[in-house]
Amino acid sequence: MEYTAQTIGPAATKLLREFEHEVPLMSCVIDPTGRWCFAGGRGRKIYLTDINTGLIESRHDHESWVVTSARWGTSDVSVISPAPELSPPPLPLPERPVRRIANPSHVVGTDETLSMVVTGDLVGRLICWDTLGDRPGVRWSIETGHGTLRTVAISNDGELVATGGGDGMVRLWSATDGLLARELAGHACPVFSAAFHPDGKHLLTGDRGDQKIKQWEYHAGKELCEFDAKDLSNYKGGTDINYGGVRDLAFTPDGAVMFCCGRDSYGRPGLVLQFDWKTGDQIRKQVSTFDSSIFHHVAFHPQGFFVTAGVGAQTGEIWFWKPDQDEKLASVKVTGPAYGMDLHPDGRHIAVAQMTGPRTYGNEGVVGLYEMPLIKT
Amino acid sequence: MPCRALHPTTVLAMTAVVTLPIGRAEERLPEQIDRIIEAACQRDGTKVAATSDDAEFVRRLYLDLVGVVPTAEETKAFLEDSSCDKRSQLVDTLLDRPEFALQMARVFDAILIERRIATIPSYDVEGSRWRDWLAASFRQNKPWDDLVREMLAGDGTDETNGAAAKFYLVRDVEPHLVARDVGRLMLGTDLQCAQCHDDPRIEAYRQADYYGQYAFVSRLKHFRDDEKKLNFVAERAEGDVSFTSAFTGMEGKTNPQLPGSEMIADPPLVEDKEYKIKPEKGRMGVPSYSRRARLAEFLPRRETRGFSRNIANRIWAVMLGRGLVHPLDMHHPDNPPSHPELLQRLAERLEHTDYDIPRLLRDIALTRTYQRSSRLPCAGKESCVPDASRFAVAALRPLSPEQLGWSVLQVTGRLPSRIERAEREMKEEDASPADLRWQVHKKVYGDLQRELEPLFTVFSRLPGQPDNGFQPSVDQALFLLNSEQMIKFMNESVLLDRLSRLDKPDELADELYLAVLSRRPTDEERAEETELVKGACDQEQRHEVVRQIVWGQLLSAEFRLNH
Amino acid sequence: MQRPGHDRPTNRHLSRRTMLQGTVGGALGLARMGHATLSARAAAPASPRKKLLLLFLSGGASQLETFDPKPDSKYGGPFRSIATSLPGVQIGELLPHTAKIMHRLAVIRSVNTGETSHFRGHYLLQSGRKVPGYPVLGSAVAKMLERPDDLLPGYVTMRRHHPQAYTDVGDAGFLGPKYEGVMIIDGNPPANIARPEAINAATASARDGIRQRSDARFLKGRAPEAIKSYSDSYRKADALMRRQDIFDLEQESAADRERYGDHHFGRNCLLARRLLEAGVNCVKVAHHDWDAHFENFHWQRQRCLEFDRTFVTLLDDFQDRGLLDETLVVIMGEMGRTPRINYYGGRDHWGDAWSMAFAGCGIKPGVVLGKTNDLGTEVVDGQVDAGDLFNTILVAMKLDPTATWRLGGRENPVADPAASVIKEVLA
Repeated sequence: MEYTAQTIGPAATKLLREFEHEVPLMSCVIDPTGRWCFAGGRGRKIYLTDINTGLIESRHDHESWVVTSARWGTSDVSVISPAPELSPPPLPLPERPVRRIANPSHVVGTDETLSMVVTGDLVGRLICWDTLGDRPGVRWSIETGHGTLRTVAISNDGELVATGGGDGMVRLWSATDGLLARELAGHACPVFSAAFHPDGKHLLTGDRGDQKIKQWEYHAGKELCEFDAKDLSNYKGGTDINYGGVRDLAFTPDGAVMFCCGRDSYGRPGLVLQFDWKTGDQIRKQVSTFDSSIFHHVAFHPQGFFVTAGVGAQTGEIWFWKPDQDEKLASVKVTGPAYGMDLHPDGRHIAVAQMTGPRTYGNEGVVGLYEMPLIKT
Repeated sequence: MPCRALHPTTVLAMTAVVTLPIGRAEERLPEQIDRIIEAACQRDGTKVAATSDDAEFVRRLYLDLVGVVPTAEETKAFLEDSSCDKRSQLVDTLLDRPEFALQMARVFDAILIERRIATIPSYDVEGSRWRDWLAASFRQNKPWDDLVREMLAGDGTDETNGAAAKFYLVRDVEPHLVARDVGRLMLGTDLQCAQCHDDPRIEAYRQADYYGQYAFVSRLKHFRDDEKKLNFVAERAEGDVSFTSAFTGMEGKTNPQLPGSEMIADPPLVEDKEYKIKPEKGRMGVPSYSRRARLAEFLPRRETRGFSRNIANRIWAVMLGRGLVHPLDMHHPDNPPSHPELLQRLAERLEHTDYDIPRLLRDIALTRTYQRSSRLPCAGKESCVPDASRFAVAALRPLSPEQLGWSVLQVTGRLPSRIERAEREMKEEDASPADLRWQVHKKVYGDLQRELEPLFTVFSRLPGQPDNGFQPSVDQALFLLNSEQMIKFMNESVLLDRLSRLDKPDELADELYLAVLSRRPTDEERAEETELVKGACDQEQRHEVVRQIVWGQLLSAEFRLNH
Repeated sequence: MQRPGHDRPTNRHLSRRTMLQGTVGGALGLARMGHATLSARAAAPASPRKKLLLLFLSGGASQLETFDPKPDSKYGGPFRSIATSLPGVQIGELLPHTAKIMHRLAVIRSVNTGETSHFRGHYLLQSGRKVPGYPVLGSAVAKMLERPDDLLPGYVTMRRHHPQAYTDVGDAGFLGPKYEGVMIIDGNPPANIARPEAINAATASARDGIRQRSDARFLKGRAPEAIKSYSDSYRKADALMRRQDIFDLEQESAADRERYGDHHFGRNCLLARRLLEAGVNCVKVAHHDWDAHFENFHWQRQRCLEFDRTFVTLLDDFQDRGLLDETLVVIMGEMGRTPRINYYGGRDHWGDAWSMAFAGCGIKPGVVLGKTNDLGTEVVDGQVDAGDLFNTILVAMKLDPTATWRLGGRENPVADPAASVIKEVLA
């Protein structure tokens, strides 16, 4: 079969498989080899699923809830790998780690060094995993020491890990050994999101409260400017924290457009904003019709659309959008509130970490693997 | 002054045949009141105070019937009036003034709402709309039973009586709170302790009574029309009430029942016909059978135990500062009325006059009992302060927050000058003189209300609490001493301007006392004022001295109290 | 399960009935009821007077993140537990400073009030009653400790300006406005406490002369009570105006302000110290925003971060200054939080099994009373409710909970006679 001329058809996205977990899940990431799904949530364990076999290994490396995770190349998945008809599993694995960077000159690593995943928990434990071998192993594990970690990101050259959390500081760690490289002070409240710009120079971070996204020149440790995301619900005081904040950030592969997501305001639907990277202006606001929801994740697909995943009133949905259309391309209801999401490096699959269980209180979780079919042209 | 010797009711009796189309027995209620009160005093050897002088009377009556002290001119006119029946004339005049309805609205606002604020204030009827409804009701002399009926029946949707739903809404339509307050405020019985068990201390208050009352309102709930931003009182078609005694573990189940009446059975529910209008998202349901409608139908009737006595007792307290049963919501066998026969008479009077509140107020105002002086009968020996429940001496009772606020505006001149201005401006409009006066007062009081809100807040008693006597607090004193509102009232005072232009010290003292304390000064006081003003060497200083005196008097107990 | 030394069968119905029959032993039978008038005054000790500091964790702190951690249970949450100065006792890692002074506290892990409404909970925990209209702790204790020559307010309450303050006005219940807490909102002194510039000292004094002379004349031949109590309110207003400094934190050292923490709760706790030292008898400080329906773990951490250091600083100071011997410090909120964690990472309203703590006068230090089950969903030992806490607080302050308020010819017990004193936490 010939795939090169084919495109992804997200409108027909369907559930391929669900991996059941013993705890409600809050984050998931698929490693750069495309084989392992790391998921964590309300429990001290992290769960490593072999996507091909569906076998789940639980490990005790963390000390608290694993609420954030990233892999190298997160903001930029591969072009579509050749793949046969996929269902039922096993999935075909990419032959080697996928890497595709807007500016390849920044890539200094090897497959070995770039096959990494970083996970963070709520007492500040940060773990860097190697995933190239038969079984993922811990490259390093550190106690970051400043309370909760809420977001992690890996730089495009694979050299630095950025974290943000409860104390409002952004910290950069060496991806090689986990040593603290730099601290960036400026946020007045907890940092919820971080993403490296494809240009290899800039880090963007968003926080809970003041509707501003900070742009850092991270090598120099300088705060450059702020993007005003005032259309996102802000933090209004009290404990209404879940109403507000910049929940995730993403870029187009060329870095020209930045996406951020969150919610409109209390009782209103999830929302995505687009900014022009050059001018800093907001260029579009896309509001979903997903009732009382908040989008926790946004990811750009190189084929020209982007995906958001969100949590509604005890429900979860993933939404597909064209950057230039106010209306969605499609949306899919998933099993439970979708707190975690990652695009598979093959560009064909999406992993969604969810909570499941009785009304109101999630007791268990699943990672749903969703397939975006190919459309013949 | 030969007139003084006449009992006020003698004057009434002479005119009553013409004006009051009722039987003789009721005509003589004022005399009955005095006979009962005085006989009781005689029995236990309580000396009664002398009759109030005209100045005491005029201030008291203005405060009680129109809610504000008289102006200097009004006081002077009354003091100089030499007609024999001037007191009863004044009673009738004041009952006929537009401010009477406004004052009754304030009195009944305090009685029925008890300074409550809904948990979410915007989920309630605004205070002004509610008071307007009360005022309109008293202006058309709506009988008390009708007023209660409208309050209990109202779901808030009615054009004219929608505001009546505040009774429910301000209580968040919380059935326990509503049930308790229906009992307290409309029947005089506080069943709060019966809610969780049979109160071992008050045997008469049965738990079943409480839940019988509660069953009328247990199906009510708040409904908000988000589009129109209006609030209503919805009712479900189903829901039963059962209870367990915390003391005995005994269980009971009850349908609606009023104390002393039969239990009211629900008609059988017909499936799919439970509602006249089915409740839906955004639409309030209307049940086919409404327990609330039964409550409105059955409670405001003379047959309901406590209904007439409660309102009779409350009206008595409005005029005398204390109920015959006291506290007002504690009618029970261990707390009998101080004068059982009197309470009976007052209740009957209301029943025979279709619950005509102004008429009962008039009867009370004409009694010797109401018209007694607050000066003690035995030259002020503390030992001879009679028990308040004897009604032998006029009580020293605090002005309500509203009486205090409006009186400050009356004294400083802002209220009368605004009324004057409004009368000038509105004269052009096409309305009858009575209507015009009503419109003028409604407008001016409405406009000035906002300026007084801070004062009302500081001086209000605690929400949901019955009046607990006079409890002056530090924050109230600080408000009168230092608040920007008081400074503003004094700065804008036309009284100060007027007084400081008076050259003759005697004249100044007279005017000042008439304006602030509604009486003429004694010689001692006149001398004191003269001395104070003498020290001022120019107009500005004079103004300052007058300001000190007026403000000082506003701070005095004599001003703060209705005496 | 019955806990030793607790005067109450677990069956509530039985308990109440037994009490009515007067067969219950201990200090709290109903036998004495009816003898006391507003016997609070009679019950107040001659001297020195005790003081009350209520640190109210408004919104409901999570017992699982504070005093009753279950780190390895299903609902335990992300945080670890840490050892404390009491051997064998662990508390949540978010309270590292408190952990070091656990031997000075009495902690109850078995509060079951069943109440899950903020409004009702605020009232219930402070009044010890479900039936409305009773005074809250601060008002009741202020009234019981009151002496005729007191000039400063008996009760001061501090909170922030927020629509959801839950209790605001009406806290004194049937005791009336005189016993309402003087309200410090956002750290501001009480309203109108300063003489404005528009009124110079000469005017103020002339004005006061007029008032006093007028009152003296008016008093002649009249019943004195109302007139005198009105004059008294001016005397107290004057005293408060002269002592404005007690509300002024600027007069505390910068070092102390730093130690207490530059946040609402820290400043209010320092102010509480100042007021208690100045002679105010009851102070309540609300610590807000524990109501974490969303992202509970973020919030409990933020709240604990403020509470922990400030609380321990305050307790150390009170100890050093000798205040702790005469002051009862109560740490509680209107409820706890659900063991179960909702989809938004929050814990919801929960009244069935939660924790509170005492320190200071009348308290047996180093006690941890009560136990919840492994999931934290149920009290399995030493259950207490709001009425028990109220009784216990009075006893710790050497006040008589069997005293009564007289109201409308009716005797109202100050503390719920169906509740008990928790002897285990008393010295």
